[in-house]
Amino acid sequence: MKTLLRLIEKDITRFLKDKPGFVLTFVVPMVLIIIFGSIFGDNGSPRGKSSIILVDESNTLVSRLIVSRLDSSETIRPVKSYRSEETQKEVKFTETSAMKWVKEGKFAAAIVMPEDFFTDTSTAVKFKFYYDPKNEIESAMIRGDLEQNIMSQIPRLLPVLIQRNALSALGRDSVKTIIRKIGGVLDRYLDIPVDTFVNRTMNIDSSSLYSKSVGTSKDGNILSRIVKFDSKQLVGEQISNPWLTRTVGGWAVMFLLFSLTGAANSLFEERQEGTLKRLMCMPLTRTQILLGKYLYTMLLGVVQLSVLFFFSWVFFRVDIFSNFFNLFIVIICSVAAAVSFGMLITSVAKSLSQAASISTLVVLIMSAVGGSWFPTSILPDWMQVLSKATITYWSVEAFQQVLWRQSSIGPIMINIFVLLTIALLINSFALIRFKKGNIL
Amino acid sequence: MHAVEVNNLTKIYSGGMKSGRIAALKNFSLNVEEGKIFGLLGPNGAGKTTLIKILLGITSATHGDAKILGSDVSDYHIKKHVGYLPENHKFPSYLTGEQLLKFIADLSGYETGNINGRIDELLEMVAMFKWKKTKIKKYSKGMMQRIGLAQAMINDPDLIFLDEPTDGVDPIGRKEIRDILSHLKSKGKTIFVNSHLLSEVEVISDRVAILNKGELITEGTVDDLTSNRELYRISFEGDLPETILTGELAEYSLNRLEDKSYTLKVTNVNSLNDFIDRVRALHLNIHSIVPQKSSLEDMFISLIKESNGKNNK
Repeated sequence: MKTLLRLIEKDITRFLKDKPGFVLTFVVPMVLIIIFGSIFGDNGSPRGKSSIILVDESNTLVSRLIVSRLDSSETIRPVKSYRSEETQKEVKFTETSAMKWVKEGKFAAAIVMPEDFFTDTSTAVKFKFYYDPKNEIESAMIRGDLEQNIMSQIPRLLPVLIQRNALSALGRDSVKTIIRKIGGVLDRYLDIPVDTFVNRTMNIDSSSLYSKSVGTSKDGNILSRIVKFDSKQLVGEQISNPWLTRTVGGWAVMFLLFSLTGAANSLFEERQEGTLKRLMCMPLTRTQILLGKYLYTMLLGVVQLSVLFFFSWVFFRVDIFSNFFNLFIVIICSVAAAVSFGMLITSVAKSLSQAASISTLVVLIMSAVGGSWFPTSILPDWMQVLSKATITYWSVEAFQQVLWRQSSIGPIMINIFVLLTIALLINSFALIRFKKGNIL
Repeated sequence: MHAVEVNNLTKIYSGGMKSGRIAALKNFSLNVEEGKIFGLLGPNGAGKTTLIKILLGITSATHGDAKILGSDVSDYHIKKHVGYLPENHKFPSYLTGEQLLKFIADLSGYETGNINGRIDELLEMVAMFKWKKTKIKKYSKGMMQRIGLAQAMINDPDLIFLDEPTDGVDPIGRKEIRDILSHLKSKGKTIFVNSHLLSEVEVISDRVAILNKGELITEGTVDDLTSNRELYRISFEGDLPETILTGELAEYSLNRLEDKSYTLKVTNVNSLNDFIDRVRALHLNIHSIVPQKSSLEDMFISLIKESNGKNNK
């Protein structure tokens, strides 16, 4: 028994001294639990608001009620205007401009209350919902949030609708007569004064519609038949394998980061086996040695992504050739940024095992908050801010633009700029450390 | 021109919060003549590896100057004329011996003529020709040293740094390596050897330097350093009478050897001269007086102990 205890003690001591192993065993899972808990857990941070375009072309009492409700929504952030590039002034969205912005990927969806929002006799209220299902989860959540927000107003909307239709069909006097007779019944059996009932029913205070209290979703479901949602997908209708087209970029970036970090970390292996020392004794500059490593890793990354996308095309019909030039540009920029990330880890870590554990932790965090696993729009607000500091975010967004939206170079310029800037800054830092001898 | 010139070299490592600053080299100066085999000796942590790393441009000095083949060590072009065998090296295991030499030759800027012929010549020299198509991962430690030596010579360097060149090599292999080094020396190459095997260094080196705790303890030819100024071997014409040994010369520490010569231990040169005067006064003829040598290892241990003693005071 004592022998066994000694052996166990030896392994425990060994494990506790193995910091990288400790990080992978405890820190990585804990960080992922925090991220997932913040997104999906009941007690986590509230989900961030999804920005959608809101157009009210009806401008009726009821449409204003809906606008008011969406303004105070905890899940939807309605955007009603944009800054014109020509006039530098705020311009209200129209149905046309809203559709254009959604098509360009600037917003995931737009809700339009058209001019006949409240006058179409075939239904009570009519919405037009334009969306870009670049991510199924995001689209479903926005649609769900919208319906909940709108349906919750139905109980308060209903008396207005009934009154309006009754007045229109029967005339004010007839309606008043009917209500007075109903009031007599209520007075007899429920002891409610007839005049009080008549006054309340005939003079519905429209301002009460704007109170903060909301109906329940249950009410909304019952009354949902009086609301018409005219949904239209604006992007990706022709794509043969939408799910994979939307997600392949995210997975590609995650594995790219893993593989290129590993390749950059091979500097440690070369140091351990003496190859690096031998190289430095040759007529080579440190910059040449690092550049050689950088170009090799770049080549590896480009080949890896090309093979992955080609594989997706061969087996799952993901269209990579319609917009191949722009796809290739995004591949190059993503690889450049991912390689620089590997170089950064190599330049700050002290050993191969340390580099491996740091990179695993950081790549998983970047993948979770950067959009590789799920859309960033469902993250809490603070995580959405954090996501923009990751290579993954800019890369995944760019891949979605070129694969899903078949975007031209214009809309991805910002992504290209950010990715190349990251690559430039980080590589400069790594080069300085390498030249100073901090890596060797 | 010296092959290696080091002036007032200091290297301080910043060891972080816990260990503070560590001086690996302290105001260290050294010159190595061209065409010689130079041995660098010192206990672990003496600063030998740091010195070689500075000379090869792997790390930079905190203060001082270092030149190889007349150029500052920061001039990477000069490395075209430098060869290096690292200690405990592990060359890429997926390469064959031949491929390794080709790889090193390409990166070393070797441009002269027939590289395949050069590779074969070197593989023959280090007795590895028949293994040239075998992957390095199948090499024994001795074979690794031999191929390491070959790659250090592939660019026909003028200055070769060898870090523990005979490590893991059997006695016959060591002899072969010594012969190779002698051959290189005969061609005017300068060889800088860093080794723990003092007997090897003693045999092959023209000059040696001993470092301890970042400082140069001594430097000179092997003969100079191993000559013992306190012990002499004396032979007389004819036998020395026992009565004289126990009588007139009794105060001297004389020990008879099997060949009828004697060892004499004196404290200094004056004592030796006093002894000679006494012997001559007794009308005895001295045939020869030869200073006795200690081994390099004895001298090394003695000097390091002495240096550590001074540092501890």
